[in-house]
Amino acid sequence: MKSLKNELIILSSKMTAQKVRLVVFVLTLAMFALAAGAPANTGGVGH
Amino acid sequence: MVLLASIVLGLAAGLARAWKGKRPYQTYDLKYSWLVLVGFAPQFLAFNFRPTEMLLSKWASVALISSQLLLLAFALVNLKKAPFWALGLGLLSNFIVIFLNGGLMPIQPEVVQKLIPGPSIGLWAIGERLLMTKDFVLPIADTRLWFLDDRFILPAWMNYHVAFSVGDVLIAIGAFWLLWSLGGPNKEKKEFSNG
Repeated sequence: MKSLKNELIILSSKMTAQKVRLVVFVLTLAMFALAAGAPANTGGVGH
Repeated sequence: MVLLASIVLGLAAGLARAWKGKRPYQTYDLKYSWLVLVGFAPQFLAFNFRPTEMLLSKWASVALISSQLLLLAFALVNLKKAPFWALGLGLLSNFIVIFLNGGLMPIQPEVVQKLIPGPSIGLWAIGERLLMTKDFVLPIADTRLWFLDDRFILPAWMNYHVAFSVGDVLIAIGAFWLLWSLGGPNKEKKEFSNG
């Protein structure tokens, strides 16, 4: 029972770490794309 | 927004690909990712953060050039991953045209006219920055490497007013490709990461 609990804890922490890595990865890519790109977004100005 | 759309679509496509192939969606280790945060900060302060964007308007070109130099370094150290070729080439293309034209992205008056129809009085002028964007209104005759400037616009039916460059298109392709590749088989991921 104890080992099952330990395995569940390890599995959940591993899954959380993977999700955190994914979020950090996507955020890094989003920051890169926003700063590397230079589109002129004028929003609703003049419309 | 156009660039963020490519990220959302790439993420959705990659997750769907992983789910279909019953594989985990795994990320890469990006080298020197802190360069992105440091590179993003000056642009955020100069172009996106209301309290500082007016304050830093005179320094907008310095913020843009210095920021893109840091991002170029980041792209360069991660070139082993194939999608970074598209990301890096797009950034390089934007950087070159920005650098050669005074530090902001040139945009032709005709393109601005399509984005902001009607009289330009008080809104924009040739030889000035376009609103608080990264763009600078410049006639084609005065633009160096004019074919790299913000020249494409979305179809009218999309009702989204944005002009973008060849570099922006390459960055969008690279971002989509990178996120899509994360849902592929391990062999493909290794090939991507080995360049």
